[in-house]
Parts: sequence; structure tokens; C-alpha cells
Amino acid sequence: MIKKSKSFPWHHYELQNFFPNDLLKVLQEEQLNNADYSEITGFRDVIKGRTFLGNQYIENNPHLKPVAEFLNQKDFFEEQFKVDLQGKLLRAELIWDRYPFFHDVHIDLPCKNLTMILNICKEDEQNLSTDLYLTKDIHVKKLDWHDNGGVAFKITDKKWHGFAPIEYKGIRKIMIINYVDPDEWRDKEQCFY
Amino acid sequence: MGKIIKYTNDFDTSLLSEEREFFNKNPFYKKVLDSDLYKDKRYDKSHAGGLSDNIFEMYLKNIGEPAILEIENRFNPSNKNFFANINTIKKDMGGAWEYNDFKFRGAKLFWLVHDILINGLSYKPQGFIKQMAKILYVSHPGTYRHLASDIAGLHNFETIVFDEKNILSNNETLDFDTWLHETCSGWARKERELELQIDENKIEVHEKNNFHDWNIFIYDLYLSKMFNYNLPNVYVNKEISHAVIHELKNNDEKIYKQIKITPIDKNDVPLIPFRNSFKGISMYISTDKKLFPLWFGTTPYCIPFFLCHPSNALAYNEDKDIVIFNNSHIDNKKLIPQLVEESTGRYINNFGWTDKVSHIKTELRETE
Repeated sequence: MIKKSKSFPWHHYELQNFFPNDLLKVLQEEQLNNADYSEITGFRDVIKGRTFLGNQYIENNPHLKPVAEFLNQKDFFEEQFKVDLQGKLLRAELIWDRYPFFHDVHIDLPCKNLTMILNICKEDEQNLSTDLYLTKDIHVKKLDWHDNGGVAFKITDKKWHGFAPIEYKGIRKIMIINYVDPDEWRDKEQCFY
Repeated sequence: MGKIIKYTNDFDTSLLSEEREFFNKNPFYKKVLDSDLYKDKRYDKSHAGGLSDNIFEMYLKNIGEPAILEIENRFNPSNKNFFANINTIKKDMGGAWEYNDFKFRGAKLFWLVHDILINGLSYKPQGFIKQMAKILYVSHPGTYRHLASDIAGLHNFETIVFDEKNILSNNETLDFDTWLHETCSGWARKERELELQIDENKIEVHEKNNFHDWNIFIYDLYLSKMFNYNLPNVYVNKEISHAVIHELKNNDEKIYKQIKITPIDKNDVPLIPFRNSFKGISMYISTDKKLFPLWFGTTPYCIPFFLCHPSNALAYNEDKDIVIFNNSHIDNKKLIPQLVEESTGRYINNFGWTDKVSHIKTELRETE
């Protein structure tokens, strides 16, 4: 993995070559899930049938276990991104976005601690990467899309981000990774531990 | 990836026909004096520079970490590979970023503040403007240069502003050739390697390879030693200590818990370096005005600690009610109790033991 630290408009790391090639191949070949994108609000919580690499899901899909184990290297990511992950639970979601889904400008819940948004692959040629905002109203930057790249940041109340509305073709496959506080995160079935 | 050019003052602009065409579709660039923006009552200073993070706070939280040059000999000028390494710092996605980047960024800001105090700005920051409840100016690229100039209290510099909505209606738009010259020309380097990046409907000019990060490593090393790898101690005039501590605690309890605050008799102020074994940085406060958001709060600029310099003994404001001691400075080491005891008020109150001082500009004390 290579990472570049950036401070504008807030501190984050731009990532490339995140997964080893064999794991990336597994993720890129993973078939579309049955998520229901019929209701688009700008937030993911209304989407039904999402895919989390939780304990049960990994047991049913053992080919994804190396991915979950890779992401569960808390010592490694703690060192890379200077955030305390001890005692936290990996919550990794594999996502097949499709138009007209967009992700409204938001900040992440503090109990998620670290966010990594990883670009797996896409069918449209346009840049479908994450957008960064200075405030809720001010868009300042669209990150570059790199397959197997993305962005990582320690969560604070200033880190406004989203996926700005754009018309696009086909599937936008990404992963969103968090390390949640077990005392606060109730949906343990989403977690791998 | 945008087009990369080697810019000199006689650069042939015909090489940029595509960029010229793109520019002319959205020709909303203006040259704006920052002081005009700064004085504008519509201007929102709380986001000056366009950074959300408090660089100073991030720097101090990591002050205990070793300096890059202490843990790594890769950037050693006597090493035959040194120049190959240093030149790839920005290009290589590894390089300096492998280290504690919070300290790196703090040191960058320190260096820029003091470089700007000596030389002024080398190149104009770029940015764009938005009309919110107030005018919000986002400075990028050049965020740190803009922020450093604000901290240094120098607002008399020019910026290149993308003003799509013509909010600054008194400023004229620039044509492509003028925009390119104003954005790219300066005085620090004979030739600049620049990348013209398209971002939505505007063009940003980004600096590519140069060696300026070496300055940051040097500052990182000497600042680490100046701070003695510790947070600054804060001394408060004991006559008003209750009010000051109350203000500080109310402003940011997290920071309040991290720093050591000691009430002190004003006659003992010259003994601050001695009481700290002539190590680290200390701050003396003798005013209960609402100052703290400026350096302990969330606003990322106007931070007097950034005016400390390893070569200076003191930084203080016009009223001398805020004094920052660089305790290990040779001039402050003169201040043994016996010398302080025998000295006149004229010597002590005028800081007669040193001329190595930085000035905290009065205007920095304005709170939002």
C-alpha cells in the first residue's frame, strides 16, 4: 500500500495499491448482491440487502475470509493512520452502487473511529470517487479514482465528505471500512471479529 | 493528471492552447489583495486558508515524537543518494509521508511563517470564493502560504481568486496570459515545474518537484529541540489567574487538561526560563481579554506560538501582556535568580537581556 498525507481541506490519506493483487481480484470478481436501490435519499441506511463482511457472511463466503483478515490487521492500520483501534471491531461493507445513488454530504459517527473508502472498480469512465467538503455547503475537491485506491481518515466533526450527484453508467464498486466501538455499535452481525 | 510545464518568465504560452480554450469558457479569475478581502466586513475569517484542521494543535499533540532527521538518515546531505531522495519527496507517495505527518505539517507552517516574515510570499496563493452567510475564501493551492501570512499578520499580499459569481465586483477579471503570469511567476526559483490541473470548471496550478521540503525537515528538528519535545507551559498573572483559567477551560477543555497552567507573581516572570531548567517553551499571560480562541481553540490561524523561532528568545505583543519564552535561548539563560534580583525595572521590563524577539501583532488578538 502506498499512501499520501494531505491536509486540504482536512487531514486525510490518499491511498493506492491498497489490497494485494490476489485480494483485489477476489473483490473485483465478486458478483452483484441483491441490494435494493429503489429508494434514493442520499444515505445508505435506506438500502436493503447490503453486504457486510461480518462473521456469518464470511463463514458462508470463505473466499472473502482473506479480505476480512487483511482488513482486520488493526495494529497495521493503527500505525498507518495514527488512530487507536484496540478493542474496535472491523465493519467492512462491499458496495455495488448504481445511478442515481449519491451519498449526501455528511460526517461519520465518532464511534466508527477510522474510515477507509476503497475504490474497487467501476464501469463508467468518469471519475466516481469521493468528494471532500470544507463545510457542509462547500465542495472543494473530488479525489482521483484509482482502482484499488481510495481515502482514509480519522473521524472528526470536521471531515465532511460524500459522493456528489452525477449521472453514471453501470456499477460503482467500492468498500467502506470502519472500526467500530463494540459498546456503541449494536449491529454486531455486520462486524468481523 | 494535468499538463506539466517548466515555467520561466519567458514561457511560451502558445504551448497551452487547450488550457487557454478551457480557461476562456470560465474566465472568472481575479487578482485580489488579501488585505482588501480581510478588511471586507462580509469576509469570514474563521476559515482563513481553507483548512478545517487546527495545524498547531495537531503539531503539539505530536510534539513528543522524534524529528524526522533524528529517526532517519535517508535525508542526509552527505549521503550520495541524498539528492535522489530529496527530489522525490513530493513525487514519491512514500518519502516524508511515512513519518509523523502532523509534525511535518506543523513544521511546514512554522517555516513558512518565518520565511514570509523575511521575504514575503514567493508565489501567489490561488483559491476560490463563495458567498455563504459571509464571504468564504478557500485558498488552494497555497493554503499554507495563505495561512502563514495570516499568522504573521501580513495581509498585504495578492491572491488569484476564482470568483465565478462575481462577488468581488470591484475587481476586474484577468485574461489567460495575465492569469498565467500572475499565477506562475515569483522570485524563489529560476524555473518552476508546474502542473495545470482541471478541477470542475477551474484550473489549479500545482507546484511539482522542488527541494523546499528540506526546510521543513530542518525546522522540524530545531523546533522539536526548542519545544524540548513537550507542550508549552502556561504561566498566568496570579492577580487575574482565576479569570484567565476560567476562559481557557471554557474555550477548550480538552486542551486545558493537557497543558500545565501555573499562577505566577508578575515580578517572577523573568524567572520562567530558570524555573523550566532553561528548557522548552513557556507562555506568560497577563490579560483576561478573550484571547484564547486564537491559539488554543479551533480556529486554525493567529497562533502566537508559531511566531517563536529557534533563533529568538522572546515573542510578545505590543502591550507585553503575552510573552512567549524560548527558555533554552542563550539570552534567556542569562536570567539566573541573582541577576534578576539585582537588575533594575528598566532592564527587566524592557526585556533588556535580548534583542532576539518576535512580535505578536496586536490585530491577532481580535476574536471572531
